[in-house]
Amino acid sequence: EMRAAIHDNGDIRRFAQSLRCLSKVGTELSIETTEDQLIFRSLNQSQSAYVHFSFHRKFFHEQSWRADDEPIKCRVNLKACLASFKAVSSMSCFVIDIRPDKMYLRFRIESASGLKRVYTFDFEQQSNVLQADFSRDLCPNVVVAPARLLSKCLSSFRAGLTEVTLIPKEEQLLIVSYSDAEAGNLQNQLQTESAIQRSAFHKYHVSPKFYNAEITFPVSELRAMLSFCEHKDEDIHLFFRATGDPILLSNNADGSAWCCADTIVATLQDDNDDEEEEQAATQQAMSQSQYVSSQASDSESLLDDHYQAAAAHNYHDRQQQQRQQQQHHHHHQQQQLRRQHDDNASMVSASSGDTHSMMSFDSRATAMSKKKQQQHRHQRPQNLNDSVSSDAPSSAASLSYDYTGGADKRYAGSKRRLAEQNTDHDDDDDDEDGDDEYDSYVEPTPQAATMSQYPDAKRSRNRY
Amino acid sequence: MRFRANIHNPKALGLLCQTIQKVNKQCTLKLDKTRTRFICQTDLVDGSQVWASVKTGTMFSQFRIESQTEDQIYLSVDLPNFARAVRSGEQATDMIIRLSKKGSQPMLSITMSVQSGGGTGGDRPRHEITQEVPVRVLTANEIANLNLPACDQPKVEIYLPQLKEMRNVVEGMRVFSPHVSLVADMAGSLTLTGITNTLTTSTYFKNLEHPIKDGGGMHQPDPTIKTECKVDVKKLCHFLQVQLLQPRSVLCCLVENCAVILRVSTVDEITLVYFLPCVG
Repeated sequence: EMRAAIHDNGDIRRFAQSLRCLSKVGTELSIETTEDQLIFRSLNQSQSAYVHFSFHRKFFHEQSWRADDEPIKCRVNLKACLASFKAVSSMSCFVIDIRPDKMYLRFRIESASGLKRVYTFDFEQQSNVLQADFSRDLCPNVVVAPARLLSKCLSSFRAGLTEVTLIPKEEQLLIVSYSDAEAGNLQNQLQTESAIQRSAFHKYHVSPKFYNAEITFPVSELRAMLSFCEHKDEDIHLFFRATGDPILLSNNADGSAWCCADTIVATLQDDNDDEEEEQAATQQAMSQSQYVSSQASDSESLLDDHYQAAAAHNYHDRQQQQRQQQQHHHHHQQQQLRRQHDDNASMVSASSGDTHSMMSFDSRATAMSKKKQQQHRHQRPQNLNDSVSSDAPSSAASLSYDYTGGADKRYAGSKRRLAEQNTDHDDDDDDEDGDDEYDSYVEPTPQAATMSQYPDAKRSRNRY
Repeated sequence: MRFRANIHNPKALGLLCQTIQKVNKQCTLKLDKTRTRFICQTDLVDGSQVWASVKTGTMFSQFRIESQTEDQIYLSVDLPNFARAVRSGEQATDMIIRLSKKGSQPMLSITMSVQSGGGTGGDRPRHEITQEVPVRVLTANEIANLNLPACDQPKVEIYLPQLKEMRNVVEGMRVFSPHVSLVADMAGSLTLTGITNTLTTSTYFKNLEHPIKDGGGMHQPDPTIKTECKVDVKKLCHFLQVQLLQPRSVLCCLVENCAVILRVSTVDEITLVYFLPCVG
């Protein structure tokens, strides 16, 4: 059981902003308490975007959970939580209450005008929590920019923009509107390219071998993070690797802030559709790899060139190719090779340590042929502790997540809960003084635990 | 075929596009050294049309154009895209627009340099934006078919009242009536009427002005001449968008059984001519 309070309107707004950001990605909020943090997580339906907010206990003005308390893990409907923050500008006090014994989450909100509101949400207990297995340390490239800058940049893009491509270069970062050639309408879409000079960034560490890599991902998650960061005029930190690897968007450099926001988004694989090119590249790759094993010293520069050549697609040509193709082929071997080059690993196992590499990507999933889809589904991990299998070629292996236990358990319905509450209610009154005056005034909402019978209701009304 | 220019008034250009895109999203753009024209037509024979013309120097500078058709280029452009691209450079310095090609797709490339971050201050780092608007070059046939609609001489020409007032009235009528009938005479009065089975609403404007004819004052126009035209209310509403451009005057010419022709002239010396065909 856990309770925390915020007494400052600015911080309450931050909290509300975090919920807003989470709701732009997923529909359910996953809550976890640890020794010193309250963690909110959200995952989108296709598991291609993951948001993680962690609030350190110092973020709150009061908190009641102790380091040795049992950690709480639960899941609530996110939209419902967000709805309680409609009039956030007038809020003066916010208390969050999580009761795993009663299976509810409660928000108690006081506004400056004296209005007190209590929102109660029932939740599902979760004995395992989904976390993305990806972190800053795995990314050699870091770009830090004021959120305002990127926001302004995105505003000049077309209205219906869904995906955006980042291309880091030596002196600038290119942000290019991405058009999926198969979605059609190429002739009618506004294409925008924005080049931001290196000097505009607070930090621009991109390793030269990643110059011209195309990192394509949905713009909605980027916008969600940008609006969160802009709220406090913060910088947004982008951590990324190569084409196809997930990108981490964060509001802090090292995860030590009191309010940490991280969003991990899958990026588009660089799949070559042209069969001939595939074969040629594979052959090239094979010969390259032989070269690797024979000449260790010179190999790196050669491989760099190869990598750059492969990765630095001519934007236009690629669109042309995509337009001509019906199916997507997968360039498993080429990618396997690339990963090896990145890690300087041997040719044998591409999967070692690379559990983070690929992420399934929704739009691609729909375009995939049935066969691939089956493979893809098969690979979507039931048993996620395995790293991405290098045998199954798929356009996008799944993001690997850690499950810290078995499947979710679902408790029996509200009836049982209600019974528990009725019997426990007496104890409650004795324990917590603050509760009484609110309990009897709880609005029955659809999510709320219905608390109809209160043997002590009369008493509390008098008190109030 | 070559075209390159600097846009020094992106706001006006953007507003113009926004105004006429209500008629049709696809617009024919005629680029010419002296006058640039925007023509929005709908496919239907009795659809509304707008022909907008602006002195090239008002919007563009350092205009360079070359083509095999008398140095004029006709393009078909999607207005929302174009407006978006142009408006993104409202605070930009040096907006350069060029006709270029991407593969086989011709496009209007607009490059500009914008200050990163908000606020003023010349020292802020700048970032470059390149917008590419896909266009289509018109065929000779299409160019030949580009004609002003044929209409008789209007009998009644009257200046419209304040567009704001008219807009309120017409929007109100839009709710229940599909058509609006305009009745005007040469004595300064204009009546807008909306009719349904159960309701008739009329709004009377009076003391409106008429254009002074160049006939040397030979004869005053007969004040009793009255013309009535019925037009589609939605199209009339689309026309009223022109209020965005803050027009100096709007001349309404009624041609019975043919069309309502509205000639708009704005402060920026943009002239627009709207053709609203008569209905019924």
